[in-house]
Amino acid sequence: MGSTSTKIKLRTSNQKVFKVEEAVEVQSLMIKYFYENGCPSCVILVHSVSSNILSKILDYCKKHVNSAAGKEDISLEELYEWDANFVKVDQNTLFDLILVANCLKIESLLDLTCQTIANMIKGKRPEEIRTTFNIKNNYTPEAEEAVRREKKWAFNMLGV
Amino acid sequence: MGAVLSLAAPRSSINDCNEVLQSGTCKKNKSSCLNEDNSRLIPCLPDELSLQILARLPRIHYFNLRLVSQKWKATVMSPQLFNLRKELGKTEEWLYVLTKLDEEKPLWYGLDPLSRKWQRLPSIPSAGFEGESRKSLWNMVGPSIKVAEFIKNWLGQKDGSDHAPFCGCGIGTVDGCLYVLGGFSGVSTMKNVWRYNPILNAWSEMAPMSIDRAYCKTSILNDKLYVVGGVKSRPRWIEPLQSAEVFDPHTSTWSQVPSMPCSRAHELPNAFLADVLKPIATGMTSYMGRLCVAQSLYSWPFIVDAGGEIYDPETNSWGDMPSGMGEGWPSKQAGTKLSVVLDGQLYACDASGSLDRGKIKVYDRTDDAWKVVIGNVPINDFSNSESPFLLAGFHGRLHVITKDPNRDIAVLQAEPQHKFSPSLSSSNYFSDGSLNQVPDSLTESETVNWKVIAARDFGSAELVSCLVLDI
Repeated sequence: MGSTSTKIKLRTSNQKVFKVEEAVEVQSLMIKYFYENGCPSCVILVHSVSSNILSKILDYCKKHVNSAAGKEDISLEELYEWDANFVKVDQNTLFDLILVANCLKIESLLDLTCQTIANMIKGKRPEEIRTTFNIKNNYTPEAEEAVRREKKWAFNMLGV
Repeated sequence: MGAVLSLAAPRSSINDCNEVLQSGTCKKNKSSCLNEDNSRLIPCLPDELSLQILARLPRIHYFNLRLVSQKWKATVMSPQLFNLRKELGKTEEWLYVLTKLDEEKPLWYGLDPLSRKWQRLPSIPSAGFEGESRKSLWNMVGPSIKVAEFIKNWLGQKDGSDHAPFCGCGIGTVDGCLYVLGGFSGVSTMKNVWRYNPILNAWSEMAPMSIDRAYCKTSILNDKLYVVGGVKSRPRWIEPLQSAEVFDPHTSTWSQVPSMPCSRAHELPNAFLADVLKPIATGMTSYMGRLCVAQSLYSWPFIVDAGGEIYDPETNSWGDMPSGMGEGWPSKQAGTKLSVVLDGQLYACDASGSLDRGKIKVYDRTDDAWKVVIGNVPINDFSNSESPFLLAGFHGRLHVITKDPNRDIAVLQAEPQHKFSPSLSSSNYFSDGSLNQVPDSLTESETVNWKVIAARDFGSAELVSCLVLDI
């Protein structure tokens, strides 16, 4: 520990320890909160978060802090592109990222990941949305038909 | 020293997370993804996070999402979701256009300007709008013919056709909903108020106004809906109203507002005229934190422009409207929408003077004058239409809604050569005088490109009025 004793450490479920740089604290309101509330050298066990997810998240924080601080020469467009690539992951990883971003209070990452799922929903039919997210359709056929009819009445205006 | 950061159940605040840390017991329920946990919107996520996702979808998709499951339907129709959209800055402006079909039915259409999709709104569930009784208004004989003539006159109809105007209801928006107020049912005016809630896509009846009114003027100010003037039916005649009232959507109650005075009436040369000519509100807009009401003096069959009055909600009192503002107020008309405030500037349409071109004027407070900013508003002036075009402001731009040569209803967006003036924040610069200069770029350029952002065939439906909702 020694020289890094002032840093917060995160320990994942598979016992990997991540030292959190100051830069990351800025991104995560949660870690910032720990830091400012007298827990600068504690080890936080982030149960059930794999080191894979955590290292991805720390990557994200570093990238954004460095670019905001001008430490990295990267244009806004390049950063958007980096973000777009960052969320090109499978759905379960995306959900894990949302959960961790939410609990560590990393607002921009929460926005990015939620928007990514929202975009996935956009072009899909209700049946496809159910399949994608494993949602059970609990409508009775009559109730579903009634909702479908209301939608049709509102948007298919042929003959008006 | 250790602490456990849990990613278990929905945790929304730092305090929540902190509690979890101290107790050190919670763990993320990894199995939730495998569970057929149908109490959740998305089985893998706590609902508060699913809500975060849904709030980021354009609301045109919500009709589709209702079909996913009952819970999805309940969620996309919930106020929480729309509150979150507001928090996240994800609200969207839609245009709502009121039309009338043939002689009878008021019909509303919503336009999502981004997807360019039109939505037909459900009909207002009221006997007051059914045709039979209303039609009789126009078939009346005897002295009451004045009623029809009066309103035609007021509406500025150019021919004597028997086309009945729409029901004369006032329309307004407040608190993310659309309101329809009063109007005629048969020969009688109504005090009923209906509200369309776009979240539920449904109408409901609200607390009625204190008196019945048709052709009242409405405007939103400080999150309340103001209603001024209009007319009230009396046996054998129609009484112009000067009274005003205000609706608070949070308490669902109406309160009285001092009646609109008419200082011009006192300037009339003799007492007889002052007695005979009644002021009516013919235009109203919320501008700089106050209600600006343009007036005309009416005594059947005469209508005379008569300046206007300004209501200040802080002092709960009326004051004179600057004379240039009142006298120059373009196209004083009942029941339609020709003025709009955009980026703190007051704009109004002026259709007079040319058959195929309208003008848009902006009010210049320094000079107390209306100045033409756009001289090339394309109108196909169909003489039967009481509102050949409407004005709306959304997406930071002026829009004109009119019928194109194919008789489709078209929404045109003004694309200025120069970008319009930087926005002036809305409230409270009436008094300090520092922000009242109309930018030069506005007066320099009087032509704009009109870009059609949507057009659609609505058959013979005529334009009546329009509103914008931002939810």
